[in-house]
Formats: sequence, structure tokens, C-alpha cells
Amino acid sequence: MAGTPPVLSVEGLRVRIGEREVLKGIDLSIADGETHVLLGPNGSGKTTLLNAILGMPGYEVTSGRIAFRGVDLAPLSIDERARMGIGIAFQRPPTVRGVRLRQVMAMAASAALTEERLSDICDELELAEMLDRDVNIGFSGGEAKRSELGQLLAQRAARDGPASSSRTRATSCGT
Amino acid sequence: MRGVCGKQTVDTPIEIPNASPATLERLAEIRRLAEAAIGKPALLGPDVDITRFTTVSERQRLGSLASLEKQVRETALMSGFTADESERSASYFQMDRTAIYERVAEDFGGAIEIMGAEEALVRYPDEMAERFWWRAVAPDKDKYAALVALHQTEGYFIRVKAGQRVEKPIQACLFISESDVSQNLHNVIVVEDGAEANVITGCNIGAGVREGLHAGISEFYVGKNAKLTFTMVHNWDKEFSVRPRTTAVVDDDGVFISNYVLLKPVRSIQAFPVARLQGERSRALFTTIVCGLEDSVIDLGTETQLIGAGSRSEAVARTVSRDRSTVYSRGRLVARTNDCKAHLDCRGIVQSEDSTQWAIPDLASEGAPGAELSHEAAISPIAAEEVYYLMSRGVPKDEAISTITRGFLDLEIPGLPAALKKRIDDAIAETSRESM
Repeated sequence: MAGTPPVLSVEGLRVRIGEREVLKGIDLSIADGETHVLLGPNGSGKTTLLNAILGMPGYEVTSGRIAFRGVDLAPLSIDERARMGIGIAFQRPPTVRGVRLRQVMAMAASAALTEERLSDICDELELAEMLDRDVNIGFSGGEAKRSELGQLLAQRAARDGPASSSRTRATSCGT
Repeated sequence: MRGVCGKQTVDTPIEIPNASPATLERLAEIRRLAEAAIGKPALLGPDVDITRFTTVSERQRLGSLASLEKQVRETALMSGFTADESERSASYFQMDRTAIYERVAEDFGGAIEIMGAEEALVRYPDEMAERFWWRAVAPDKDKYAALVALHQTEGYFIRVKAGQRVEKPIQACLFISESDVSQNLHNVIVVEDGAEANVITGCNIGAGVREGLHAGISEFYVGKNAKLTFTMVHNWDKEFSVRPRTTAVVDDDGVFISNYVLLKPVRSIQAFPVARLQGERSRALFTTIVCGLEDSVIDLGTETQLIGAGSRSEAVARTVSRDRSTVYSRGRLVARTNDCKAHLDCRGIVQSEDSTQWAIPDLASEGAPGAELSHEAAISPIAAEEVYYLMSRGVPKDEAISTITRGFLDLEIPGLPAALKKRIDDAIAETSRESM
């Protein structure tokens, strides 16, 4: 919408993985409330763009700028970007033995996850029976997807506070 | 009376009133075997000069656990021994070489016997000699076994009577309050046919105690359709040497569950407890949680001998090593029947460039082509992708590493009282934080 400052702004982004330049000058602007879908053939750089926004090691930004709510992300770590409000649902999330889904959601919400809020999320995504399982170990494809979304909603709670509804859609990137 | 071994001043008695000639002969044979082995080094672990230590001292008996010094009570609590006996079926407290307290709660009188091992020998000499005394562990196994055989300083005898299912844990504390001594214990637990018990044993040393040796023999006899859950928490000191020798003999349909936790520094510890599954359909489960700290030399393992048809076993070990520690994590499965199945799961994380860790699975089929033995052994750093995954949820890097380390060590220990579980969780959390 014209005149509305973007939530996420990518300007002239060039990203290298090892010796190979994968992104060669990407521009992207996402305003509040907008949903953008990235389409492209395998290897075109979709995941690279998301990982660069997230700040994942191995994705070297050689030029350009990424800003979130006007803040340049370059000096910020992965967790700092996440706490600002950037979340990602991984297509193939790693297993983390000994760490329960319940724990990850609680950490993502940073103490803002009330029992009521957690219950709402679990009802919405049918997570109740997964909460005390080691995260992503033995999860089916569907369970993994729901687990990722549940974590994002919990992460959203940290920004919105415990009183807000979990049914508000989060600003997120999905792979 | 000077002992066979260096400065030891106590000789294990071989003259016991009311003992039969056969028993006296058996006790004499034990002594002969031990004397021949007093210089025999153990196959594993650094050698300890056992002649350097004097015998632990006698102590006064107590009328109640409330009489324990506050510091002793608090130290014992760290290994699961509580002065509040409301949730305990029986208690045994040994200070140095004296059983200073033992008690069976009123509700369990008749179901449980608990006493010092020397008293058990006097009360039941023939039964002990024939069935329970040095029948599972050989007195000439090595010099540490021989030391206990020749210069025993108590230990406990616990028996749960047939058919008794004791829900509240039995607790035991073995405490050393002085330096430069050796505590040479011989423990026996008998869980008779159809009985069930949960025994928590903590080994502790007092504040300011320096160098010393804890040599312990533990023999467990699990009857038909009986179950013993045995949890041991070790709290030693960086100058202490520890050499336990343990064997559990399990009868038909019997179950032996062993949980072991070591999260404090130690000079050296070497232990390789054995579960001898001689009964049909007998089972064993070992869970081991170890953190190698400072300059500790830790050589721990478990061995399961699958002898009875239908025997099953699983051994799970999680080890974190850091600072300058050296950790050997061993697991041995020996199949002697076609109808058996066993698995080892041994994983480690090395968190320091100055620490060394060995994971050594060892499988053997002795004339049992149908046996199913398997293992998973791995030593690997915390996976970076796991750390980044948690960070993508807003978790700072150090907290992510601490959480993953804690999760790695946080094994579900069946039958663990809530209070002890919390203590272990707290210790793991502290260890994980300190690892940053």
C-alpha cells in the first residue's frame, strides 16, 4: 500500500555461499499485512534469501541491505533477529534430542506463553500429544509442519504479550 | 593388629559364632584367595597405591537422622538421602566404618531387613556364605576386591522379603568424613521371589576431606519375578579414588534396573558393573549419566551376560567431558543363549580441546548364533544446526547450547523419586551452564 513503510525491506542484496554467488541483487519490500509468495525453479535462491534474512551462518551478504521495521539486520545475530519478530518454519527442521517441543515453545515465547495461550495453540494445531516429545524426533511430515507453526505462534506471543490471541497470523517466512 | 595391606588396622573376621564348619572353611577360602590377590592390579583404570591409606574410623551410633550435623545432612541430600523419612521405607547411614543408623519404617516391618553387612554375617552365617557372600563377585578379582575381603569396613545388607512390593524407596548413604583413609565396603541386596524394591544409594565425602579411597563390593540377587531398581549418585572430590565392583544376578522373569549419576570431579573412578541374566526372560536396564570435569579420569562401563533364554537388556549412557578430563565409556554385551536381545546406546559430547573421551562398545556371541546384539556409539559435538534452530526461536546462543547439553544428559530414569530427580536436574543444569 502506497506510503506505508515496509516491515521487511531487501535492497540490492547479493549473497554468496562459499565461492558461489547465489543472489545477484535482490529487491523485495513487504508491508504490514501483506503476503508474498516466492516462486522459482530449484536452485534459484529462494532458501538462500530466507536464510540470509534469518542471518544463518554460511550465507555471506556481499552487498546490499536487509532491514526489518527500519532496522538494519547486518550486525544482528539469529536470535536477535528472531526476537525482533522474524520467524521461520523449516521445511526439514533438525531433531533436537532431549529437548521437548513444550520447552522450545516456552523459550520462543520468552515467558509470555500462558497455559491458556498454549492451550489455544495446541487446540488450533492439534499439538497436545506432541508437547512432551523430543522436538522433531519421530515426527511425521504433518506433525513437523504443525510443530513449526506452533513454535512460530509461541514466538509471536513474545512480541504480542500473553493477552493477545494466538489466532492472529504471524509475519513469517516458510520454506 | 596390622593388616595384610599397608596401614589397614581392621581384619575381616573369619570367626563367626554359630557358623557351620563349611561356612568357616568358606570364609577361610575367601581370605586365602584375597591374600593371593592383594597385589593384583585391575585390568582397567589407573593403579592406586592402596597401602597409603589407613582404615576409616569407628563412629558413634545415632538415635535419629535429625542428630546428624547440618552439613552432613545437606551433603547427603545432594545424593538423594533425606533425613525426612516420611517417604522412605527404610534407611541406612554409614559414617566412615560404622553403621550409625538403620531403620525400617513401621509400615514395612516384616517386609524389609536392613542392617550392617557384618551383622548379617553374624545373624545368617550359613545362608550368607552359601548364597550371598562373595558369590557374585570374586574376592580375587583384583586388589580392590581383595582389600575389601581382607579389611572390610562394613557395608549394608538389605533384604526385601518374598512377595513384598515396597513402593517407597529404601535409602542408603555411605559417607566418608576423614582424609587419607580407605572405606572398604561390602554391600548385599537380596530381593526375594516376587518382591519389588527401589534402592537409592548415595556416596559422599565431608567438607574438607582430601585424598582417599572408596573400594566397594556390591552383590545384588534378584529373585524370580522380582524387581530391583538401584540408583546410585556419586559425589566425590577431585582427590578421591573410587573402585566399585558390582554384580547383579537375576533369576527367571526378574528385572534389574540400574541408574548411575556422576556430575562431580573425581581423581579417578573405574567401575564395570555386571548384570548376569541367568534366569529365563530376565531383564536388565542400565542408565548412566556422566560429566567429566577438571582432571577426572573416569572409566565406566556396564556388562550384561545374557544366559537365560528370553533374556533382554538395554544400556544407555550419556557422557559430557570437558576441562582436562579423560572418560572411557564402555559397554559390553555377552550372549550365551540364542534367544536373547540386547542393545547399547552410548553417546558422548566433548566440550574441551584438553579432554579425551573413548566410547567402546563390545559385543560377543559365545556359541549363540541366534542372539541379537546391537550398539550405537557416537562422539560428536553439539550439532550447529540444532543450536541455530533454537536461536531462530529467539534463544541466545549460550542458552541454546546449555539447553541442548541438558537435554543430552537428561535421561528418563525410571522409579526415581521426584526430589532426587530435581537434584539431578539442578546439577545437570549447573553443569550445562558451567560448560559455556
